[in-house]
Amino acid sequence: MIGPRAQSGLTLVEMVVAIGLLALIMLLLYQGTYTLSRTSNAVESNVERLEGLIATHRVLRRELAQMQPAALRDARNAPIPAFTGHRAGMRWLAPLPVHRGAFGLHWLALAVEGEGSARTLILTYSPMTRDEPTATPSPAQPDGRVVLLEQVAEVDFQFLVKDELGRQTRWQTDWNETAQLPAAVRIVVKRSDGSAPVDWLFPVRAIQDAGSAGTEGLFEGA
Amino acid sequence: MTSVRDRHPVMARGVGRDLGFTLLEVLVAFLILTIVLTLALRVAGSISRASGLSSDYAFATMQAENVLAEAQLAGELAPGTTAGVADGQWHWRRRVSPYREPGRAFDANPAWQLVRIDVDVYWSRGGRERGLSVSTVRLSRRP
Repeated sequence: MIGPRAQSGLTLVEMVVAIGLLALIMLLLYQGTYTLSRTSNAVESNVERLEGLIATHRVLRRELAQMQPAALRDARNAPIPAFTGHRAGMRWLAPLPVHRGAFGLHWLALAVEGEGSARTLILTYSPMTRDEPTATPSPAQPDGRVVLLEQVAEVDFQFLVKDELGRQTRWQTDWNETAQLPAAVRIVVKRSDGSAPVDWLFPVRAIQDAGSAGTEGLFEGA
Repeated sequence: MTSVRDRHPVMARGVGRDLGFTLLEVLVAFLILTIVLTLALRVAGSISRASGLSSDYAFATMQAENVLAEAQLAGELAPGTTAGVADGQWHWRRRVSPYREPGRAFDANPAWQLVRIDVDVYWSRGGRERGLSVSTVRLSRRP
């Protein structure tokens, strides 16, 4: 008879220890790779979101700083506002950067599209034609369309009113004046991924402002 | 007759007839795996922290630009310091001081002056205080 000692093989205890070790190693490996891939995804989406925010901030700051006041009139000689705004969007006139391949003034419009959590902030643009400057573009057929921000829950627009002396008076949510541009635009973007809302303050016509709002005496001493 | 076991240093050290790893070898391998995983996780953690930090700096920069824009919109810029907190996280401080470059004709202008605006934004993350500063020179009416 062959006793248990003579058998070559693993004892139950050795087996249990081996399986236990293996399980521990597998668990550790799984958790490690899971954490690594989650971190990598989180970092990637974070960077993507951040890039989108920075690019949007840059584009809007430039395009709002270059906003043009235009005394436009339609066929019946009624003035057309160069800037209109409401709570959820706005439209204005500004030159586009050259790399877009288009010189001259363009109608630019910001609006939020989509439903639920899949909303996006869209910038559309169409050239302002010389012979028919009053033809405001139809939002359905713009020349260009850029998705600025994705995963947007809500975007709020506010417009700053200034009096004749250049003092700021109040913020309002609608702008239909034909004779005046707002002094600044405030855009609050609430994002649907739960991250903190973004609050942007853009001075309008920042470049020209120093030379337009009552500059008497500016160059006398020079 | 020499077997593989006898010639192979690792196997020769083995428990006896059993072909395979000793417990010690398995433990060493296990230890190496743990060290490598710990290092990888630590790297991942620092990457994630760095990403959060860069996001902080981007938001702080936007905050600083908002504070600058507010100063610009205020029209008249009186020298002095203002401070505030935005979103309960971004502490900002704005200093307005006269900007003089001796010898420049502009200093003699009766109605306008140059003012220097310094904006500091600081915040804390993970118990560490961080901050950034931006400065600019703007035109302002003389008071």
